[in-house]
Amino acid sequence: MTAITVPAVLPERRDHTAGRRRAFRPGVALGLAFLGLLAVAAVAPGLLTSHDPLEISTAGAFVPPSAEHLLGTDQSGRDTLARMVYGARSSLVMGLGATAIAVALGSAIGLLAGLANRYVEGAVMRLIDVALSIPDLLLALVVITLLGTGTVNALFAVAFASVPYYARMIRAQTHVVRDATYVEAATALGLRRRTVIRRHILPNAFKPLVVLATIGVGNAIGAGASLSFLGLGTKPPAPEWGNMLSLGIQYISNDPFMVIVPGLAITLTVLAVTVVGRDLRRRTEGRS
Amino acid sequence: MRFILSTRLLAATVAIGALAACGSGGGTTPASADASSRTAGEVLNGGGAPADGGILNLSMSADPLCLDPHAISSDVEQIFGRILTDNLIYLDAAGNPGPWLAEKWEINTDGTVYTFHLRKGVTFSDGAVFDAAAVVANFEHMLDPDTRSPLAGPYIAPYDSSRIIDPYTLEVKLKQPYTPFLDVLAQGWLGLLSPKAIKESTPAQLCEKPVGSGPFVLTGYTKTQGATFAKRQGYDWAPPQLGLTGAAHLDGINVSWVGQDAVRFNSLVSNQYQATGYVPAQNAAAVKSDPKLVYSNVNRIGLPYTIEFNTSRAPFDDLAIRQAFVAAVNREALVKTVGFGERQLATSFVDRVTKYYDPEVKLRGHDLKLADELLDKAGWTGRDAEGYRTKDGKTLLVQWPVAQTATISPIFDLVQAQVKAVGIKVNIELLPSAQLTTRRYGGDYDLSAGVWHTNTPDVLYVKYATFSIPNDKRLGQNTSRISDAQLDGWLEEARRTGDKTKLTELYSKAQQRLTELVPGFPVYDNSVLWAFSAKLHNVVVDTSHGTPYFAYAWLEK
Amino acid sequence: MRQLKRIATRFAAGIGVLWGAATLSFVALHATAGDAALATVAGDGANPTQAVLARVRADYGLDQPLWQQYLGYLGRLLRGDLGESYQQRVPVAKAIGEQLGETVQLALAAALVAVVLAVGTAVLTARRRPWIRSAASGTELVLTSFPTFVLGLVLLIVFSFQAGWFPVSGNDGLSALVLPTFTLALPIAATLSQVLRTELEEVLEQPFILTARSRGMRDAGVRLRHALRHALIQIVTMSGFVIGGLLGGAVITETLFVRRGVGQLMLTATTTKDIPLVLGVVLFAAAVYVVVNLVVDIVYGLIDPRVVTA
Repeated sequence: MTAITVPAVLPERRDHTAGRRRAFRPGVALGLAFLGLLAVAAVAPGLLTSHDPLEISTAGAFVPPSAEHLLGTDQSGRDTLARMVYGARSSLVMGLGATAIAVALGSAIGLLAGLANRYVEGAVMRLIDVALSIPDLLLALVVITLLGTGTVNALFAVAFASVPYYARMIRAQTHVVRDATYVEAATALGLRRRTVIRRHILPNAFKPLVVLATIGVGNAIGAGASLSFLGLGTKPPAPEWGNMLSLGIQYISNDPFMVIVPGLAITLTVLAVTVVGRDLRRRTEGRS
Repeated sequence: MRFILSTRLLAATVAIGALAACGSGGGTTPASADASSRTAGEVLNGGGAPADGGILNLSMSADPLCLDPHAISSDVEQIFGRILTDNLIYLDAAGNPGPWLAEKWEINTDGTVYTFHLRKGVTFSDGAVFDAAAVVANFEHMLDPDTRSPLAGPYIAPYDSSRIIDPYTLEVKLKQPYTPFLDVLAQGWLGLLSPKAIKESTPAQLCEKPVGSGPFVLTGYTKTQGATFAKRQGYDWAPPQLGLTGAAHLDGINVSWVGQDAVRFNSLVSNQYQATGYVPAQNAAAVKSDPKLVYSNVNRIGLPYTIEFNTSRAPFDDLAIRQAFVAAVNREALVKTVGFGERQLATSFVDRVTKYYDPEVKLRGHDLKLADELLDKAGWTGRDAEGYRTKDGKTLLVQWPVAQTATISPIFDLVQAQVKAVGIKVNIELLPSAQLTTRRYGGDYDLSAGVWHTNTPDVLYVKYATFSIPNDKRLGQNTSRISDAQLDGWLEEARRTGDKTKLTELYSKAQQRLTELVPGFPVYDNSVLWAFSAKLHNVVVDTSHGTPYFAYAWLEK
Repeated sequence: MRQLKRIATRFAAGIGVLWGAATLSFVALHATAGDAALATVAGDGANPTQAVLARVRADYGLDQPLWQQYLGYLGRLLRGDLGESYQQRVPVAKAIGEQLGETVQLALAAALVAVVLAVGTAVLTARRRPWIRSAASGTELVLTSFPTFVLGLVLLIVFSFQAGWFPVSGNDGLSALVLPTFTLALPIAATLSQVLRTELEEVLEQPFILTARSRGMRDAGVRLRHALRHALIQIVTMSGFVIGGLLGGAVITETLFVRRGVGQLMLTATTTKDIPLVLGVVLFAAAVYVVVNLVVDIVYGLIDPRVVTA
């Protein structure tokens, strides 16, 4: 959950490896491959498993891995592999959905603050300060208390908790671009304010946003899983990795797979998104 | 995160931990010759010469956040009550009221006046003397609205007034006859507190530091972490049924709250704790096979784990739909999955160790064909896109609000999947406890599940009498909201009579009637699973609650 | 003088943040469904009467209009009274106070471990051979990718359930603190160490470092005396991130290791809708943040006078 803050606070520094950029990075390739697999699982889960994630198997509960159930069954007798495959969709929806909401809201607020007069800016920034003064998870808990639990509410909770970071970043970027000499020059040339925003500020300010949002997707997936782990996110029996993990820990002596498999999946997903996101950052910075 | 471990019915809900707290096993009619099945009053790991000294580290599941037994309904009190307080009554192994701080008593012919002859020489740990006035102070404390008593107060609701005849003779008048009166007086929640402490403390202070006359004295309480108890010097008034006298052998008991099942299990195995009040059912096999541990699975008096219908609204106001639902459920499969071999299939609306349990009562079994027929006949013949039954374009949908915890019992999913086969759609709603209780008392649910443990067959009145339906006057426990004049008559009569033959007949009829009314279906008998280190000796199975009684336990050096 | 004025402005802004936080959380939590009075006495298997419920509602002012409850709340807040917890029936300040020690202990231990690990790793790996840097940054990457609860589970299962080196749970003694501390510290350490190494590498390229080297200073000396001093400013800058990470992470860490503390208190209060307690913890977190930022601001003014005029 705390990971939400990371992309926003990490100072943008020159990466020393940027100069020695290689065309092919095995880590990035592996990351992309893993994400590709997740995308397949999310879009066409039937390709990866023939079982229904909700169907209770006649084989019973805690069946060890077999040809029929490659990762065994859980405490209710449901196929673990099927639940993992369908759970990928929950994770991707959480990651992409929460990030999209956070980016949209954050950008709107950030642009408003960056471009409006100083009173509006002051007011908006103070509100952001309030939000920033409360740790993300606590903020998410408040949102969940307000909206109730569930997939969609957890998604909003994760999104709202990261809005302030995007807003602050966009505002800062807006300032940088606004004060840059070429924009001053453009203004001096008599270009209309709206044109300046559209032609200069937006393209430049949004560039780092894309990079940060990519990494944000990974963090949102981790955060969503955390909420489900605490029993506040996606409700059972819907397959969700954080959920599966929190149930798995209760039954760890009966079936360690119930902990290992979802734990590994969550970590690898966040890792893969981060690796790809960082590579994207290297590339965009290499170009600029 | 709170892992709620309720041992009584918490209407719409029972967390997985609660399942761990109830299970199956021995009792009067053991299903198997399982050595871990224990009966009330049994002394476990006895023998040898007791050694004095040592601290027992005990893990419990959830902090009730208040230790005044009269102010809480937490099952913690079943164990804590016996550590900190004494009661007027102690049940014998057969479940009949026996003496404790009340040495003997008389009841008038119509059952409204009880005369208690109290034990002399008993003192509370703050020096206050136990006498008739102390008992009166306790009754008044239980019934005082400021105490906000959720359980002790309601259990003695028929209490009217007291007359102190002499310091050790008390006459208690009831508003109406109430046969279970003596039984409930034996429960941990009705343990007696020092009248001095009651008088001098605010309710909040009493929550933090209750003072009793029990074998141990509360010396520290840190919320959500634990409580410490020290041996009460000079204690010498344990229930005569224990056959032991004098002060405790242990120097003290340190209690910690350990909410997570896996953590509680592992910390027991690693001897971080020498006893736990709650063994998760999924770990029972491992605990049983560990020679360093003594495992207990104790059936107890009260309502089995039961799934109930809200009979006050559609669709379950229709008996046929209730019967169809029950026929669609495979109870054996549920018990097998959640029980890990530790649960016993329930056979009636009371657990088999309950007095007047009727072994002749038969619950209907799994019968998909019957379920389909009943639903067809009731007019639910259409099918929607997902294959669920419809009638007049409406899907056969039932709401099941349950407590939101990180780990949900598999029983909800299983039932949902089982009844899907006959086209009934169950919507499991996970809710925070506040919303859940609001829904529960507002009657906004179709299914609820849980256990209700009390030490008398009067549990049937608590659960199924019309009087117990929640209304704006009283938040009762009749969550099925069943209302049947015949049943009410028998259950009320059972409260008025002390005649055993009559009681047997009345409770048999009531149990039989419930199988016809189908307010719900009992799934498995409610037993408690607990364990302790083999180095701990002389642990007694409490006769009211089936929980461990540590008064004369001792630790091997 | 200017310094004082700046601090005063910051202080006022801090109060504003706290007021905003109080208002927002008050509004948010009062909007949720559910009867708080029922939640208080009608918990597990409770059997309360309607009279008892009425008493509870009157006791907590739940029968008053919302704006009166809000004004009353702010008024009491000014007097340092955070209200009474519904569940625990004690003042909120006391409820938090009881748990605070454990969380502070955990947070400080984690902060210390995180900083030591981060500084150590950064100093040892900055501008080293590529494989050393790759190994370090790879480890950091994995650690920052571990959600707290997964990392905690891994540590719990490996070092406690399996190896039995540390107690499974609880607050007793130093050994019970080890696993929760590392659960909380490792992701923070990994992030700090990334930032610190980048910073160090930049500093190590500066002309004054070359001068120091040309004066014959040894590599370790250069790293420790010159580069580190500059890089440490980064850690101060990131103190807000660290505090947020510690407080947020405490919720999960304390839950996982069954430790008492403010984090577990917050989670319990959220699920039981213990409004005064939730508000209290949120305000407390905001206050910690405000105070830390104020201190950072002052420290900045002291190390770098340019901040004042900027």
